[in-house]
Amino acid sequence: MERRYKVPLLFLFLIVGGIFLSGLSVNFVLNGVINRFIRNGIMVLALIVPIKAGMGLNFSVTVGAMCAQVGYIMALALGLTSFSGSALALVGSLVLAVIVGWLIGLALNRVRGKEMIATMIIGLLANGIYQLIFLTCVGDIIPVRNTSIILSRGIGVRNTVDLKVFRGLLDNLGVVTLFGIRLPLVMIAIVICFGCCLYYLLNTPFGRKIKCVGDSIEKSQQVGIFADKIRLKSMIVSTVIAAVGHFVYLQNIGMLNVYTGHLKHEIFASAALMAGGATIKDATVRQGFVGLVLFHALFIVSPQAGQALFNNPALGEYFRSFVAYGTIAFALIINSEDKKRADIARKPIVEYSDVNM
Amino acid sequence: MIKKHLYVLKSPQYVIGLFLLVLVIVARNIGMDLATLFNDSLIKFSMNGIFVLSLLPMLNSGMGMNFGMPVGVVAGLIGLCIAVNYNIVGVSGIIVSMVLGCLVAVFFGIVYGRILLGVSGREEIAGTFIGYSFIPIMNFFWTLAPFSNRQMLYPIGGSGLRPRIGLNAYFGKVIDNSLYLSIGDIGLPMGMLLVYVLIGGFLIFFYRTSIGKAMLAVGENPNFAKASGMDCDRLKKISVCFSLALGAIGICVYAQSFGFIELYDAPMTIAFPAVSALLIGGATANKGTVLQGIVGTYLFQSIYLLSVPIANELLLPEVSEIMRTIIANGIILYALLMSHQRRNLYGASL
Amino acid sequence: MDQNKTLLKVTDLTKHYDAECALKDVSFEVKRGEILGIVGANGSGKSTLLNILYGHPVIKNTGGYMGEFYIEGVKIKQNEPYDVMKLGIGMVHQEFALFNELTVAENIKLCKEHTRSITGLNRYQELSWIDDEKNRQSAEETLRTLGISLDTSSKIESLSTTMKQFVELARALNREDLKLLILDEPTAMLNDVDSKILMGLIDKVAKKGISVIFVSHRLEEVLGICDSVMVLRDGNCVNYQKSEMCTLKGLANDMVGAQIKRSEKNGRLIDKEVIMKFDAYKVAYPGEVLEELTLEVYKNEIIGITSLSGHGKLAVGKGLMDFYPTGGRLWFKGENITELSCRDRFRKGISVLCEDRKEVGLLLEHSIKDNIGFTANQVFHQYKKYPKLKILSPLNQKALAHSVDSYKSFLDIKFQSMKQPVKQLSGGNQQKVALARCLATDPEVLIISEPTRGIDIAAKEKLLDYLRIINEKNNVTLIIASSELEELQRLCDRIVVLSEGKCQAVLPPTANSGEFGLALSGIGGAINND
Repeated sequence: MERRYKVPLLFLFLIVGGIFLSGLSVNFVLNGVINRFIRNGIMVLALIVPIKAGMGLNFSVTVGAMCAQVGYIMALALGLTSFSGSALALVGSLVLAVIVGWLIGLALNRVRGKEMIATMIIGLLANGIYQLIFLTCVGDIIPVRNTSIILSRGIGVRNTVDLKVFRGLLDNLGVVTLFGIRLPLVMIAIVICFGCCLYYLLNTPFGRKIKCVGDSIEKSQQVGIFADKIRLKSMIVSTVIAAVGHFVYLQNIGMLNVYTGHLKHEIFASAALMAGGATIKDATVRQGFVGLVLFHALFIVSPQAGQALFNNPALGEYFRSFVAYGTIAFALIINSEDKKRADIARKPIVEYSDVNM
Repeated sequence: MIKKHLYVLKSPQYVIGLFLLVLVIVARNIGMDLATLFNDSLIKFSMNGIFVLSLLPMLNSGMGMNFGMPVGVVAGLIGLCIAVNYNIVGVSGIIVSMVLGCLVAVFFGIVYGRILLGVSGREEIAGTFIGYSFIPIMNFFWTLAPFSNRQMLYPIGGSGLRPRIGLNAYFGKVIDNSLYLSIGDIGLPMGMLLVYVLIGGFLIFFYRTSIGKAMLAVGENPNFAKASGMDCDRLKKISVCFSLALGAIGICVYAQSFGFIELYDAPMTIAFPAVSALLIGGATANKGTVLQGIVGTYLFQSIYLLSVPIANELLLPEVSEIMRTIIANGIILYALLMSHQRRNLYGASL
Repeated sequence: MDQNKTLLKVTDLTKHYDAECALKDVSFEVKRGEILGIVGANGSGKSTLLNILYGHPVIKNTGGYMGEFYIEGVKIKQNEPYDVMKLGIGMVHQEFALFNELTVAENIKLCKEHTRSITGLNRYQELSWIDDEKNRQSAEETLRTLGISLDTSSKIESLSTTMKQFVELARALNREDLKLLILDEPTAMLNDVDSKILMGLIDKVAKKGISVIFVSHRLEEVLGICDSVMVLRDGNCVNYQKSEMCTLKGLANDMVGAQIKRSEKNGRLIDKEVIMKFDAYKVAYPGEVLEELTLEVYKNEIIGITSLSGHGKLAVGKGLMDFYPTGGRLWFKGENITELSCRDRFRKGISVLCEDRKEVGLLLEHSIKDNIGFTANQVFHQYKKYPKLKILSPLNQKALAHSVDSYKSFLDIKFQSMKQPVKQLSGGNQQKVALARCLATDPEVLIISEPTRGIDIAAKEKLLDYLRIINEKNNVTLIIASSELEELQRLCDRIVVLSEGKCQAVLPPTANSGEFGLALSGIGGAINND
C-alpha cells in the first residue's frame, strides 16, 4: 500500500520547494492553511462516504453547497438576523439537502458504474436550475420581504449578498495565537469533531454495510444487504455533510456570491482528498484532513513560486489549476491499474485439489 | 418495423423541436429578422458541426463520449499557431494548420488512447479530467514557447502568446467566403457547407469499410469482437486518434470562421455543448450516426442563436446562457439515465 | 425436542421465469434435525428452489412464485426479500459471500454485529458503535464448536479455499435462532479429507436439532449423510425417498434422465486420422473450470463433450477463443497451436461458436448480412470490393448478398430482409445466423457449445440435421459440447464425459443412461479411450 504515502509525500516535497522559492514565511502559509482548514474541512468529509460505498467521487457536493446558500438566502429574504436567522438557514439547508440527496441517490442507482460522470452532470444541471430560479423567480414569483437582496431591476437576487448579520458567532471564540499563528480553537475543534462523528459512523453496522456495498454489490445482496438503499442513504449523508460544510464556509467568509459561490468546491475537495493519499475506492478521515492541509498549502505558495521561478505569477496560477485537476485525473487513471492488478491476482482459479488447511 | 429507418424520432427530439418552434414564434412576434438569423445559423452550424462529428469515432467504438475533446482542440490550436507564426496565408494557411493539427492530434491520441484503455468503464470522467488538466499544461506552453511572430505575442512587457490572435491578416474567413451563394435574402456559405459535408461523407464511407465495421463491432459488443479475433485495443486506439484529428480540423474551421484563435482556457468549454448536440440529435450514450450529429448540431445551434436576442428583448440577458446550460446538461443526464443498461444483478444464478 | 416435528413443509412450489418453467409442483418436508439431500444439475431448478427458500430478491423481481411453504406450521407469505432470514434460515452459498477486505470475525458477524449501545435502545442498533471484542469472541466460539482454530482478525483474502468454506459455514451457524441450514454444494471446492471433516460437522449440527438441506452432486456424500433424498430434473421432482432405499446407480439414473432410447445411430467407420489433439488442456473458466483434457479428435468425426453444469464442458470453446487463461497444449494437424492468437487459430481452420450466442456470437443491432459476413470479412479478407484498399475497402455487397441467400436456403433461416437487425429474429434463427457466420469462414473444425439452447423443439431437430449435413457433405469435424445427452447420442460418434473438469469416460453413444449417470457424477473413474 505504498501508494497511500507516495502522493502526500510528493505534495510535501513540492510545498517545501515552493516555500523556498516563493520566499513566503512559514507562518504566513500556516495561517492560510488553518483558515482554509476551517472553511473547507467539513466539505472534504462529504466525499468519504460515497467513496466507501463504491460510488467514486461525488461531484454533486456542489448541490449540497447550493442548499446551504438557499438556506441563507431564505433567512435573509425573511429578514431574520443573528442567531434565529442562522438557525433557520441551517435547518432549511439540511431539509433541502436531504431531499436533494435522495433525488441524486435515486438517479445514481440507475447508472451503476458511471456514477462519477453522472454526479458531475447533475452538479452542472442543478447549477443551471439554481441560477435560473434565483435570477428570474425570486422577487417576482417568489415574493421577498427583505428587498435589499434583490437586484435593482426588481427581479432576481443580487450578485453578492452580505452575511455580516450572521457572521462571527463562533469565529472569534477561543482564538489563541501561538508563535504568530492564529488558531481559532473552537472552529478547529468543530471540524475535527465532525471528522470524529464520521469516523464513528463508519464503524457502526450501517458503516460496515456501506463498506460491503462498496466492495461488491452482488455479494452484499447474497448476504441480505439492500444495496440500493445503502447507496441512497450514502448520498443523502454526503449531501447533508456538504451542506453543513458550505454553511460553515459561508459563515466564516461572511459574504455570499449567490451565483458562483458554490462552484469549484467539488474539484478542490476531491483534489484535497486525493492529495491525502485516498483513492476512488477507499478514503479515510485522516487522509481527508492531511490532504486538505497539503493541497491548500501548495495552493498558497504556487503564485509566488511562479513569480520567483519564471518572473510570471500567471504560471503559478496555471500550476495551481494543474494540481487541482491533475490530482483527480491521476487518481482516476492509477486506480484502474491497481484494480486490474488486484483482479488478476484474485482471479478464482478454482482449486479442486487444494491441500492446505 | 422491418426496415431499419434512417432516422428515428424519440422523446428528446420532440421536446427540443417544440422548444425551438416556440422560440421561432416568439422571435417572429418580437419582429426579429429571420433571414439574417437563418444565414447566421448556417454558418454557426458548419462551424460547430465538425466538433460534434469528431465525437463519433470514439463513441461508436465503445469509448464513450469524448469529454477529453480539449486535447484534440489543442492539437489544432498548435497547428494554427505554427501556420500563423510562419506567416502562411490564405487557403494554404488553413490547409497547413489542418495538416499539422492532425499530426499533433494523432501523436496526442496515441498517448491519450493508451491511458483511456487503462480506465475502461470510466472513460468519460477520466477524459474530462485529463482534458481539464491538460489545459494548464498547455497554458505553460503558450506562455513559454518560442513563437516569433510579433503579432501573436503580448505587447512589450508581457511574455507569451496573446489569448486571442486575430486571423484577418492570415486566413480569417477563407472558407466562409469561398463559394458564397446569395439567393435573395438568404446567403449560403457553400465553402463551409462543402467542408462539413465532405467530413460527414467521409465518416459515412468509413463506417462502410472493413475497419469501420470492425470498430462498430467493438463498440457494440467487445466480447463478440474479441471472439471474432479482432484486436480490440488497437481499434480503440485508432478511433481515439481519429476523434482527436477531427477535433483538430474542427477548431481550424471554427477559428477561421470566428476570425480569432482563442488560446488558454477557451478549449475547456467546447466538449459539453458538442456532446449534448449529438445527444439532442438522437444519439445514445453508446452509439451515434452522422445524420444524428448533423440534425443535433442544427437544433442546438438554432436554440443558441434564437435565445440570445429573445432573452435580451425580455430584459433578462443572462438567462439565455443558463437555459442553454440546463438544456445541454439535462440532455446528457437523460441519455445517461436512459441508456445505461441496468445490469441484472438480481439474476445471479438461475 | 420432538424429533418428529416438521420444521419445513413445501407444497407444490412452482416458479416461472417469463416463458420458462424452472420449478413445477415440487413438494417435500424436512423434520427437525433431519438432513435432506437435494440432487440435480443446474437447470434442474435446484438454484431456483434455494433462492425461493432463502428469499433472494430475484424471485420477487421476476414475478414471485406459486405454491406454499410453511415453517413450523406457519405459512410464509411472499414478503420482502430477506424476511425469511429472520425466521431462522441460514445459507451457505456455493460462491462464497465473503468480503475480502473484512476480517474473519467481521464476516462471520456480518449483519448481526454486537454493538455498544449508549442509550440501551434497540432501535438505533444500526448506528451504534461496533463492539469488536465481543464480535471476535462470538466468532471464535462458533469456530470452536466446529473444531477449527483460526486467527479471527486475519483478512479473508489471505485464507485458503478450504478455510473460506469453513468461515462461510461459521457465518451461517453463528446465530441463536438457527432452525434450518441450507448448504449449496459445500464440498465442491474441497478435497476428500476436508470434505469428510465438513460432513462430520454437518452431522454434528443436525444432531443439535437443526434441520439441514444439503445440495450436492456428489452422490456418495449425499447417500452417506442424508436421511432423505430428493432428485430434481428439469424443474420436477422425480424421486423423493429415504436414503436407505436409494442406490447410487438409481440416483445417477434419475439425475440424467429415464430410459433413453437406444440410439439408432449406426456406428460408422471413421478414419483415425488425428486432426486436433488436446494435451493436458486446461481452461480457467470461472464456474466451469476444465482441469485436464487429453483427447485426440479424428478428422470428419462428430465428437460430443458433456458434463454436469459447471464441470467443464463449455470451457473448451472459451479456451480456444483466448477468453480465459489456458494451460497444456493444443495440436492442430500436427502443428502446435497453443501459443497462437485467437485470430491465427481461426485462420488455420478452426471455428468456434459459443453457448452465449447473444453475448458473444452475434451483433444484435447489426443486420443479418453484416453478421454473416463479419468474420469472413475481417479475418479472411473476403467480400472486399476493392481488395487493394485493404482495411479501407467497403464490402462487396453483391457477393455478400449472394452468400447470405445461399445460407438462407441451406439452413432455412427465416427472415424478411437480410438488412433486418438480428435481434428481431427468433432464437432458432439467430442460432442459424451465428452458424452461418462460422460456416462462411470455411472451417475444418467447428467447436459448438450448446447448439440447441433456447431453441424451440421443431427448430432443434432441424438444427441437428444441419449439423450432420455439414459434417457429412462439407467435411467439417464437429466438436459439440452440450448438456442434452439425447442429442449427443443421436449425432456423435463418441461422447466424452467430464466430471469436475476431468475426463471420466469416453463412451459410445450406445452406452446406457446408468453408465452416463455414473460418469457424470464422477463415480467409477476408469477412462475408456477408444
